[in-house]
Amino acid sequence: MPTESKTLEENLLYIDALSLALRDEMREDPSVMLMGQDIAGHGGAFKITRDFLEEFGDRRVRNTPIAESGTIGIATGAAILGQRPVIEMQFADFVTCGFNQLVNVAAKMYWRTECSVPLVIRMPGGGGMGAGAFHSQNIESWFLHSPGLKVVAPAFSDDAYRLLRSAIKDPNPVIYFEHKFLYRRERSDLQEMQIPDRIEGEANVRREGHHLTSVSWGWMTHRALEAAEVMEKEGIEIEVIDLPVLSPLDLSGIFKSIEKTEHAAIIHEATRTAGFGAELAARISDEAIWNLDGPIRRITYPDSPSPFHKGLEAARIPSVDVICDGWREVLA
Amino acid sequence: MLRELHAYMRLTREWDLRYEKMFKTGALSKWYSSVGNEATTVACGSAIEKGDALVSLHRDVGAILRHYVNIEELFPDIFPEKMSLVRQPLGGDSRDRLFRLACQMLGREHGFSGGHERSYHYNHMEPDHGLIHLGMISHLGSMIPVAAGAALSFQQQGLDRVSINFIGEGATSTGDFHEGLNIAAVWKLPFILVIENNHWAFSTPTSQQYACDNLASRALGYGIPGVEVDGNDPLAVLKVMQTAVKRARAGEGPTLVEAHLGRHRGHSEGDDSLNQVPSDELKGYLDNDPMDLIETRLLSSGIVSRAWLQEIKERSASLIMEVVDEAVAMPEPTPNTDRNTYAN
Repeated sequence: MPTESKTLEENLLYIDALSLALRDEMREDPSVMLMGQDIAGHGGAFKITRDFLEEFGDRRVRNTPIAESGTIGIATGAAILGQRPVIEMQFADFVTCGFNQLVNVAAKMYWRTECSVPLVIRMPGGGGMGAGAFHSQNIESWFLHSPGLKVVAPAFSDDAYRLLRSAIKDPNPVIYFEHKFLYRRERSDLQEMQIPDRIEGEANVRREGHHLTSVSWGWMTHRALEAAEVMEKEGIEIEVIDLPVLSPLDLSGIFKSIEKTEHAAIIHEATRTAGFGAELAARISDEAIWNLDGPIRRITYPDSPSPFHKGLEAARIPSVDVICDGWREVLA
Repeated sequence: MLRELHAYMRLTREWDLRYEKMFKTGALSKWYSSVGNEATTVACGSAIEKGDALVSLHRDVGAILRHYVNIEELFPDIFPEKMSLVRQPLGGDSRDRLFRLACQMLGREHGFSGGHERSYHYNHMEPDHGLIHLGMISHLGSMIPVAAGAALSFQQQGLDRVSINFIGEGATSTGDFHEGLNIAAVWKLPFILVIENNHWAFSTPTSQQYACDNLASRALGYGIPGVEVDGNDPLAVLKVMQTAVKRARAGEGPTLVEAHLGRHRGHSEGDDSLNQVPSDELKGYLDNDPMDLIETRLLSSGIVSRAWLQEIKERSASLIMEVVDEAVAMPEPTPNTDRNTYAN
């Protein structure tokens, strides 16, 4: 007899899932500490750590000066010696100022020294809000090209909760992309669950279909699900696979799906050239090309910065129409 | 106390001389010498204790040896009486640490990184002995925030431990110098940053590196003490460091120390960067060799005899020769790609 899992939260907002995960980890493990710009009294630019200062005190909830490199470096040193720092980048875009600490110090530390760095960098990223070139980027590829980092980009509130808690427990540096467009739009129920203490690769089928395998993460998984509804009306069944974890990468679910559908497309909000879609297409080509009956299509942002005007921005983000057209071309 | 500092300085000098020789014979592909830095590094290593964090660069083997090794254990016949006046040794096996350090320099499997990382780019932790040593990455200045992070961990745990980090004067121009020191000051972290100012960064003189009179005065801008000290005088450095350590342990925050010392060698052995140093300036550095200075001081104050100095020199050289020879005879790592990139 299947056991009914208990619902902890109904219709949990994505942004509240993040707060809840942080709070639950901080209550469970006194070595978890938060650092970031304006996260203490102000509760962060998005209010994700509102009231944390009152509950956990100023030693565990630390405002930092505007110093991304210094903050990541200090968190790395503290992590080596037993703390579990979680850094909030005010916007994912700002992490560039701490790039060296991340890719050369934190990412390579375990390989170089066998000292683990249990560090999480929360990265509010993504577009859709007309926020311009420095508050909208999707920069996962930069970190996927740096061995030693794990990279997470959840699309759903329940995944966001579970993966943030797992990221904090994981002994490696984890880059945690949280999508700003989803903060107050995505809701899902949070079931009682086991929280793994490691981030492992996952590829989750969010909609079954037998004509084409579509792979995406973050906001684009929601767009893919919408587009799949449109295609259903044309009698085409799209299998939508969501990748909440980009590194480590689990490709087995994608390969299995392609055996059935014989068609593959990848959607990402990040720019096209050397985006993660290129890597996925190459892996699919390496391992599963004989199962394909059409080209592997990438549906992406063009190679351009993000414009301020919402209309100009929307023209670049893969829309439901653009996604459907891309899929139709693969199936033609 | 002077004799104790001298013994570690001599061991450090002989370590470098041995590897410099190996470099010249082609047995080593690269060597960054710490000749001339010994007074500062040994004194700094003498100011820390069990449980403190040492974060070093490529000219800091003096601090490493001071921290890793108990000279009384290495030379029990020369030091039959208890000599550790300045600080207590960590415990553990001094000679084995020295041997593993030699293996690390040569990329042997038995080195601290199993041949994966070069020279001083390794970490070595012995939790049972309170040994916390974080090595460098090649980007100078990058370890400043990381070392401050070690201090943060002590603060979080309510421990009265400190973290010390070395940099050259060149790395004071990096963003991480500013960011790391500023956060450490704001959070009152138990952190001491030691600038080993040898006035030349590779081939760049201080006149092309910074426009201020000295670097210690930058501390004013961070609201912390900044102290200039003669880096060739181990007693002076020790005194400054003991004050800084005491302050850090008391929760009063970081100190910036600028130790002035001389450039005795090229950036690395085999490059011609020393040609950039004007000959009279270079002569001034070589005439003020900290090794000569301390030995003159020991002799003139009648603490030791010339024969004793000769004996400790020979014994240090032969111990290092022995340890390095053992390391040379150790197996090279078997070529593989197995090393884990991720912690499991």
